Amino acid sequence: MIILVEDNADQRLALKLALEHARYAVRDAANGREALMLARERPPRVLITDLFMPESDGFETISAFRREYPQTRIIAVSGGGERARYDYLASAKLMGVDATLQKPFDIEKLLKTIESLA
Amino acid sequence: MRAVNDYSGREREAVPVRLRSHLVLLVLAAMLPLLVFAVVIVRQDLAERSDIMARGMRDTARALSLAVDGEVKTSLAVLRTLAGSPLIDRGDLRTFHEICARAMEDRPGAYVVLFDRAGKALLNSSRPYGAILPNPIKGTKPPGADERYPEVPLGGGDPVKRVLETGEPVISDLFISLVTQAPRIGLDLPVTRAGEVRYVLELSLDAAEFTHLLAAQRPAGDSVLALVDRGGIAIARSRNAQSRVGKRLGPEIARLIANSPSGSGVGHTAEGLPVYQVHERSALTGWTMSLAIARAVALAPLSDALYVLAAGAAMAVLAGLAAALVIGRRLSVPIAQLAASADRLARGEETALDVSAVRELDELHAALARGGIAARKAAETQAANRAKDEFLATLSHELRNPLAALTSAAHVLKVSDPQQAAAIKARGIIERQTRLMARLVEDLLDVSRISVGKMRLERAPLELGALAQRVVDTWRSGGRLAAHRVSCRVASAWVDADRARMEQIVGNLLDNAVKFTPAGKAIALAVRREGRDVLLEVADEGQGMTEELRARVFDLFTQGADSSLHGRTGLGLGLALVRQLAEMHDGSVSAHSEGPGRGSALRLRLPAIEAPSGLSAHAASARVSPRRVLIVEDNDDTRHMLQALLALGGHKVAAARDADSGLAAAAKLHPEVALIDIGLPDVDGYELARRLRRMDGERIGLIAITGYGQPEDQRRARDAGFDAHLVKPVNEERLKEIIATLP
Repeated sequence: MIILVEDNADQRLALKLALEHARYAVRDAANGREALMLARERPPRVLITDLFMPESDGFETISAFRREYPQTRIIAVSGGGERARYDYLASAKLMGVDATLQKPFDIEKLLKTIESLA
Repeated sequence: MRAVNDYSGREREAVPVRLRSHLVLLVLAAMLPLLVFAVVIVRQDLAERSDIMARGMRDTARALSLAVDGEVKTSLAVLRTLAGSPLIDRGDLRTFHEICARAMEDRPGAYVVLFDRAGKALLNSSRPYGAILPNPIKGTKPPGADERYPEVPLGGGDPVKRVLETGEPVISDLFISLVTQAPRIGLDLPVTRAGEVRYVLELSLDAAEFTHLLAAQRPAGDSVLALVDRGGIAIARSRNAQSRVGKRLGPEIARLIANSPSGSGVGHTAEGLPVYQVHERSALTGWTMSLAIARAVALAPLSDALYVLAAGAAMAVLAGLAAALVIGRRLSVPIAQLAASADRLARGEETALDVSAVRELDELHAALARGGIAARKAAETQAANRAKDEFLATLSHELRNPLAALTSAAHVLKVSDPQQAAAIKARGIIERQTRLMARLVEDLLDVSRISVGKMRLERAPLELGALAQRVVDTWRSGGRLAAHRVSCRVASAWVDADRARMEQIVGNLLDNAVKFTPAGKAIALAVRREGRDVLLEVADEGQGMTEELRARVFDLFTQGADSSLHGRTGLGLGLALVRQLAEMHDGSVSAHSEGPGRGSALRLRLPAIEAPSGLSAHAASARVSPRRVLIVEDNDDTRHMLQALLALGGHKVAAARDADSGLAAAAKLHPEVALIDIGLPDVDGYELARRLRRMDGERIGLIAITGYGQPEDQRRARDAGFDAHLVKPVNEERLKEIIATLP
């Protein structure tokens, strides 16, 4: 089971459709708080999270999942963000995420990444 | 107090002192040695002068003393002559009395007395012969007997007695005469016969005669001459003789006189006048001549010199201090201005160059200003670079987000059946995200056009209320307002404006409200007249604004505060465009919010105009009627999309991929409207437009489609006979509207 955290509704929907087509069970959340509520019902195998979101942002979500669900594999995605001269995906890597992807990314690449983690 | 390093590197305590104080110190330091030397020189000069004065005074005293001695000697000589008279031997005292009286005629106040060995006065030249006379030896009383002169003996018996005892002449001290009851002096001579003292002959002198002698010297007004006897009693005095003769001198002066026969010193007269005094004692009489000059007069040269010196020094110091203050001001005022300039430069403000009296300071000021300008330019460049960097980073993020959605949706379309629900959803995603990107690019171009002054407005009277209502309706039918409770209250209000730009303004305001208002909350749009203005307001129950955000919400690249990290809100272009467009229309914008979480209201204010007569009805009755439309576009995707779009709108459509087939299709269809891509493979769109015009006369409506929205492109399109100009990707609403409004 995959939990997908993304605040942009269209991006969330598009990714969800693509993953479902690849026959993954996907639950989606608009922010980290919702994602944690979903994980409480059933901890996911994989968490795909954007880094910049309202409510609790990607970094908080990542650290919460690392603490509460150490078994969950985490993939962080980001469009770079406004703080251009700083590589946030590298920071996410330091926080112990399993993979990072820079937006826009090829869906095939995402699927391969998920397979390699599973 | 603060610690500073001096040149040796050691720490020391230093109190910063004003420039003026330093200059004052400089003046004082320069004046001090000068003053010291002046005082030394004046003192030397004064010592010399007072020495000269003292010598002069002593000479005077000695001369006076000699004059008194001369008087005494003369009297003694007279006395000696009388003492040798044979009349005494013969006992003819009556004749002797006569001779004595004659001898004293020209000596006022003086008389001669002859005593026998018992002290009995045998005759007195001032009394008739035979008159009864007192016996001084028996009648003399010690000092105090005469209450007028408590220190002077009454009666001159003692010198007579001494002459009898010693056989030597005696010059007496002052005594009070038993005969005249006045202070007198006696010169007593023994009358010796055959080695034996037979009589004592006395010449008695009135003390007042000596006072006359002193007065004859005409002493200066502030000097006092006094003749003092061996007992320290004043025989004569040039001043206040009446009260001071017979009394002692002032104690200090008396001591000086007692201590040495000749000398000088300072003290006070009996009257208490401070004086400088010299004295000279006579060896003949034992009397002392004292000359005293008031210290004020004696030392006058000293005081005068000191006054001149002090006045000069004071003037020099004052002049120096005045110069120090003036120069200090000349320096400190421009320095203060320099400091103020530096502060202004630090705040990034302009600085004015005042001309001071000090060239170096002016040069420093100019250099500072140059440095400030350079620093400001550098800072501006840096700020511009930073803004550019941040803008590019934001831009790339804003482009990546829709691209991410598009990539995913394209993947879904690729792998799924087009009729599946997933594919339909994916198409929806692509449509929305494409529109989002198109708007982003449009906004960017608009900002760019406005910033370089290339935006042209096509202003015409329009009814803002109806326009706003139409935008809201379009949004509503597009489902973009579905999440919110949106109300629209518009009154009829005419403005002179560019229709497309007004739609853009209303759209951007709505977009802003939708972004920052949670689902289910209300958004209210209103248009109304307010005085001479037309007011358009979009109020929401959204997240509101801090005062800081409210102040710059219409600035370029400003975005909602707590959304700055997630990139949902875009580039911060929308409201900046609203303001720029409003200002181009001679209008203004304002933002209002009660604070975060309490909603906000954005207002557009434009000058109202009168409703043009007979125009409003026409626009309202315009209706979409089916038309014959020709599309000439070489890009297959665009052509298909436009074809499908217009066919769905009920129009009769023909499509061609180049100019030749386009002309062929036109010959069959006789289109009322032609959409022409400018960049066609065979001839360009402008040429095709001209050919279509020739073919179909003036009636055909021509719409240009280009990838560029530059004013130059628009102008060329108009020149070629196009009625309207659309930029790819084509906005459906706008296309529909243009087709509907073309004649």
